[in-house]
Amino acid sequence: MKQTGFELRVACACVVLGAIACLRPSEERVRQDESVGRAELFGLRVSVGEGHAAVRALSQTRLGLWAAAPRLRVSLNWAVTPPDEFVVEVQNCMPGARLSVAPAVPFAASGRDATGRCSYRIGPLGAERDLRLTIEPDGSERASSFRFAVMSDVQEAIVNVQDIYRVLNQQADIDFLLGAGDLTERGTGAELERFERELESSNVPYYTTLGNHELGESPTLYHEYYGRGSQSFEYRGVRFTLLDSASATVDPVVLDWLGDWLARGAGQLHVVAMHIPPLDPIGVRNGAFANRNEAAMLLGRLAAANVDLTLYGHIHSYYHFENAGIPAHISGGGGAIPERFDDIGRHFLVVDADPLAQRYQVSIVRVD
Amino acid sequence: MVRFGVLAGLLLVSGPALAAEAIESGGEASVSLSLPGQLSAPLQLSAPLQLSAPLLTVAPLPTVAPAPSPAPRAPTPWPELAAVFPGLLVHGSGVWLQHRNQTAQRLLLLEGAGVFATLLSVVVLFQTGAARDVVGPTVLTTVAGTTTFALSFAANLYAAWAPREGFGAPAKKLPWLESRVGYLYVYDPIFDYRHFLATHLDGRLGAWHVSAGALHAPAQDNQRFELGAGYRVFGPRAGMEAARDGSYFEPQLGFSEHRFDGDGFLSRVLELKLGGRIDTDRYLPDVHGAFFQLEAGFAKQWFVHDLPGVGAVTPTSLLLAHAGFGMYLGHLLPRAAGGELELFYDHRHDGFAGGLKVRGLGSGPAGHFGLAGSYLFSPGWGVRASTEVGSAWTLGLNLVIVAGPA
Repeated sequence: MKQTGFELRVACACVVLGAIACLRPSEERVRQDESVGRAELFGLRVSVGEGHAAVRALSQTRLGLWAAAPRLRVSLNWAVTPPDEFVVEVQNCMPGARLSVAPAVPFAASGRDATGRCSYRIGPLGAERDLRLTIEPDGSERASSFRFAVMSDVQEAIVNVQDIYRVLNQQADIDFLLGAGDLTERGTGAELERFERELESSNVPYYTTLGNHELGESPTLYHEYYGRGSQSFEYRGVRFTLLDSASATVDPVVLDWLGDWLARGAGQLHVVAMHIPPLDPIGVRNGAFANRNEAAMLLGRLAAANVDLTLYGHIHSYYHFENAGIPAHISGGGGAIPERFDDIGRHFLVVDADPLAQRYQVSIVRVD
Repeated sequence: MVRFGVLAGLLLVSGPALAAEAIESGGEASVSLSLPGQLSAPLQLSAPLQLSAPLLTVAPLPTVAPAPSPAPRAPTPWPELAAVFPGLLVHGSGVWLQHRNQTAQRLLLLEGAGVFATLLSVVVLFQTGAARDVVGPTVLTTVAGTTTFALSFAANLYAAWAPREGFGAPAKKLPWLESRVGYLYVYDPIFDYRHFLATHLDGRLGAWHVSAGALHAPAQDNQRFELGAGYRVFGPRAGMEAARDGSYFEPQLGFSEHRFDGDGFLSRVLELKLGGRIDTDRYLPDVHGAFFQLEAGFAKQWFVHDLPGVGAVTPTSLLLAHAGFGMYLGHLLPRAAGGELELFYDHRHDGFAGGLKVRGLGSGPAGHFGLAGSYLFSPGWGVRASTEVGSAWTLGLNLVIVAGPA
């Protein structure tokens, strides 16, 4: 009898062990991704193409967006009589972003203000119930050389992040800053708002994915503020794909999306960024995917699609190596607990991209 | 630097096995037991070591009646409940209520060693930012510390809950040949494979041990092959001479190739590890029929991609560490049915189970957990079952055929 009781206790322990594991920890975030850029209120339906912006505010007369990509396609559909005027405010917008509206209606643009916000007053709308807005810088649909910067892993060093923006603003001709996650320490609302306030001093917008340090809240708040964790966009002939690897894995649904993004990037310069790298160059540390086989499978898919450059965060240093033959750069120089003895310190990367020649050059810019 | 550190870490984890070797080879009644991430603690053996043959002929000693066990401080079920709480925080609480003071003290010491090693390594990780030159031994110390804490807690539960004599005894001799054939189910949301034919063969001759295994999913373009070799420094071996107990120490060399033909890559791993086992009664004299299982090592891994236009090899490395608490089942008489059951943590990130995925901030660094058991219904055959959970679930069931003197 006593032995039977013991066996029951062992069985209970096994059930508890099984409950700990979660084979798809980012599944909920996939659902959040799918809802980014969509909202409906007072008979007005808003849809941002490919989830390239988060809907921050919506009223009968005003839409507030946070741009998560340089080029936005927004559709507005009224099931009721539209107002005379409608205001679209885009935070984190590209310098020089211009609005075009179809069908044509009058509008007035404010230009990008000091906090990185562009405002467009559209109207009178008349009887138009369906509007298609395009907000993008001139010439961004054509391939041409440009520069972008890469910065990740700010976390608790948000108090000193202005040092980085100061150096960043001194760099010439940077179009935008690309992030590979860990904006905050735990992903709380207050931390996400603080990151946004600090970002206002940057001269360029910040397009990013999330890191494991944005997962301190459940459900994750990141998407409400900064948009999708996994997305893909094209800018001046270069395809950028951002993947949510914050849980040391990429969800199977995202892998399906990736197939489409890889196909659309065929023949283009293609940059793929994510927070946790599939493989850590220091294998025994494994600041990498939980499953090595998954890491190899993902890298194989990227390599087979001729991805040109992979960018990662998570490891608070700088590493340059190859994974599956693809050049890889880990840049976790945003200030979070730095890796010692490496003589790297806070830094960001600057990438000179030449999509016409299918070439790029990566350089490191030290902040300290 | 990293390699030196990893070797230092191996010694940390393999310490108990090496110390147990001293027990095996010596006739001293007091030896030093080195615990993972811990200091040395004097081990007083409560029973005299048994010699296989009498060295001297002496007059028989007068029989001494064993001292009666002191009365428990609290009746059942309080010790069993105390083993859970506050036993989770203060290991040995349950056995202390059973008035087994020495066992309680040693469990507390083991817990302290685990906590100390964990805290020390976490401080080093934070202070160095997991720097490349120190992260290998530091992570190994973290694993050693956390698993020592876990093993101590498991032993604390077992000591309070299980009968004093345990549920069984170890096999003190091993068969020359042990073959397994069976089925492995794998649920990995990333990969399509699910069903594998599993085969494995262990051959032993004296202290030498070779093994070969294969997992084959013909319809899903996935195969895994494993080769291993080891030398059992002490402990149960194949042959006629029985070991003192189930404790052993065995350095092992292994190679595996895992082919993902459908995904266009394969993984090759070359590994060196130190494996060992210590029966609990070597450290906790009144806790019988259970064991601590420990392994540590280092592996090189190569991913070879073979895709149209892609022919790349990506090298990396793996930290190997395994810690388990198990109990023996049966084997109470020679050639009687018996086996063992082990609950374990394995730090491997390759293989089917991979590393643990969790919600929140902590996915990636940890390995996987598992439960494995085997039982021989007769000296000729038995079964083995196992389950693991990390980034995938696995469930295996095998028929075991053995040949040899065990």
